[in-house]
Amino acid sequence: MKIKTLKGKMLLGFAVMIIIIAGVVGWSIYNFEILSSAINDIMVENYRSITASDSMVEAIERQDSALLLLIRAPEDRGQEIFRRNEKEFYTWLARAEDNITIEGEGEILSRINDNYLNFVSSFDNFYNAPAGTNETGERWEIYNEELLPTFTEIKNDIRELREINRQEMVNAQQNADSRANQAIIYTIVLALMVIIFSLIFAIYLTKQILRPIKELEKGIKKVADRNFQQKVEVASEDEIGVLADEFNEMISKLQEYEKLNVKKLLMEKEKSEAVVNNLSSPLIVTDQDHKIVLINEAAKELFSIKQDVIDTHFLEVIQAEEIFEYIKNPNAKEKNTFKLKTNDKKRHYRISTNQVIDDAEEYQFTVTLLEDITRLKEIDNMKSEFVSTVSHEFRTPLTSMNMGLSMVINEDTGELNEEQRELLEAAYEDVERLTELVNDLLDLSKIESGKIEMEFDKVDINDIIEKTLNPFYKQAEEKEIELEFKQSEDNIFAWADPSKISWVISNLVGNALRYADEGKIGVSAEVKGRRVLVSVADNGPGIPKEYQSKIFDKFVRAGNDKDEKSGTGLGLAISKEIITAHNGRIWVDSEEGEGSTFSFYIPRFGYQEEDNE
Amino acid sequence: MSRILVVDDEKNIRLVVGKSLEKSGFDVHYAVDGVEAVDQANKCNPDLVLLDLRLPKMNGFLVLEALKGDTPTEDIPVIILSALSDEDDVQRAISLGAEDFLVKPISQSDLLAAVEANIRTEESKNTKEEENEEEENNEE
Repeated sequence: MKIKTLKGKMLLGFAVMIIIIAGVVGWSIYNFEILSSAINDIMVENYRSITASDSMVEAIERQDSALLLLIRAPEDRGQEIFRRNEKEFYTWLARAEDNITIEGEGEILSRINDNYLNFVSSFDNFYNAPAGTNETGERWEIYNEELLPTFTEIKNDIRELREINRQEMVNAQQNADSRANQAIIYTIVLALMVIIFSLIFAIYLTKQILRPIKELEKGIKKVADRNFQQKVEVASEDEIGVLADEFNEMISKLQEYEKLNVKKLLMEKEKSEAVVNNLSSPLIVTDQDHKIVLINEAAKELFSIKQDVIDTHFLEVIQAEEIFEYIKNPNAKEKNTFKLKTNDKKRHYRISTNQVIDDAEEYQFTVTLLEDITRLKEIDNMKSEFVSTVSHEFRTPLTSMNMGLSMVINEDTGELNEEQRELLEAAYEDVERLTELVNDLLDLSKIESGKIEMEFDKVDINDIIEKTLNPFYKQAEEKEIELEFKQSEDNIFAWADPSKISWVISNLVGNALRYADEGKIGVSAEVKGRRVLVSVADNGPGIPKEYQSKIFDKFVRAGNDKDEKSGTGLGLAISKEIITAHNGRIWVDSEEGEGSTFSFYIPRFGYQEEDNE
Repeated sequence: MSRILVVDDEKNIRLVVGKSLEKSGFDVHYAVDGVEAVDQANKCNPDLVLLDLRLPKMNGFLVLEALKGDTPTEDIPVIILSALSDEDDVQRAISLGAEDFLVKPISQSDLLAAVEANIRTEESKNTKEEENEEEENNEE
């Protein structure tokens, strides 16, 4: 029979113990029983024999007394006593004979019986003989010769009987003593055996019950360590076995889930790896210690990396201090292009670094992307080249147009009538505009291509503004516009190229004058921390919101621009290039109908960054 | 009458510049390429050369170099009149000995002012630089 449940196992264990204890108790009771009955039997029988012996002695002594009585007087009373005690004697003798328990007892009893028969038959002789006086007479003789020796013999025999019975009782007591001792020893031994057996059994049972629990525990530990491979092996079919089965079921579910998850993760990983690797731009991901976490094929190719470089310091793998600077201080520098010579080919890259911040807002990785902008650079150069060429090509015909027209208008070639003059002047005006446009285009392309070098110096911005505004006062007066320079403090020193900044201010003031019909133009300069801020404010028509962000682009003009006032559309673009080259910023605040304020800042002298040179 | 050599491959430029100068009373000679320019400069010994930089056969810089490097022509003032306006070009021309650098397009008055300022006269041969400064101030 196989017990399947834990409860059953425990009950079985207890049942076995109870049975054993019951056995021991039973056995002890049995021993006591045997002991007591043995004592009882022997005691009772021997006691009976002794009682019988005593009674027989008593009877025969009474008979003896009766005999002595009868020696002197032949009374019937003596005979009556004799007969009554004879009866008594036989009764006790019969009882003693019924109770023969000891070896030799029977012989003694048969001898007593025989002697007593002689004694009784001698009595008949005695009784028939006449009574005498004291120590004479036939009765006396018979008594002395026959009855007394028989009586003595019988009495001795009875004493012997009593003695052996007494002896037997002593023996029985000793026997019981030794039996009791034996029983005590047996009981102790048995109890010890039972205790040991119980202990062993209890340990075995506990182990038997605990072993699967241990297995289960191990299994749970493994699962906690995310080892879903091994199942818990519990052979038992009890509650723990069921639990183990359920546990295994859970593990396999977990394993499936894990597999699914791992699969998903792997897929995601492969996906992102594929994306990263197929990215044509080199990409490097570094951790907080600037060790490479991820590098794509394009980056490996660019830096001719063949070996595995994961977990190696960036500089150990890529000897490019320039790039490392960006990784160390992302967003530190505005200029973020650099040249790299690979396979004897110069390539231009734009570097962008991005810090990946985790949920805890802690910086984890830096993603560095190198964008190959060689082609863009080429196109840009080509464009600049093109613009430059075209502009140059425009210049020569413009010269002949300009000079030819001016000669005709100046009447060097003869007089003109009003109509001719008007038409020719219109043509001349447009030639001038075209000239201006070409010049602006050339300036812009030069600045953009970096051909114009900034000549930075310590300059007093107040001086520059004053000099720049000089030619505009007359123009403003003509248009009845108040042009005012609000000087906030003396000697505002900036780090700038004076001619370029002058150009920007002149462009801004020129624009303001061009668009305003009346009112006021205020120019101001002030120190703002590390910077110098210059503003040109007008109360002209203002710039619609949608144009404000675009007016610094090339050829963009605000929507309310009127034809006759249009400039080349390049002035602000050039201004922006110039200010950007100063590491500054230019912007506009404007409300339609309220006027516009153009502002720019450039570094204050002493606060310029070193790479401005 | 002062003689001016106008060197330009563009017919229209030669026409307007020439006409403009003639109206102002100069004797104008022409050359259409670099080789001819050097040739003409030697032949007619002008008092001023208006020189374009982009010329066929021999570019303006080489012409300038040739004129300034040759004794008979080294004293002739040369004004560059070019569509090129890069700092490099200006610097190069000045270092090669050009007296002035005019960027096309240019107005008639500016051209005449530059010519007047630099043209070689009997008196100006020695005091040319002083006059230059005066003329420049007058320009504004």
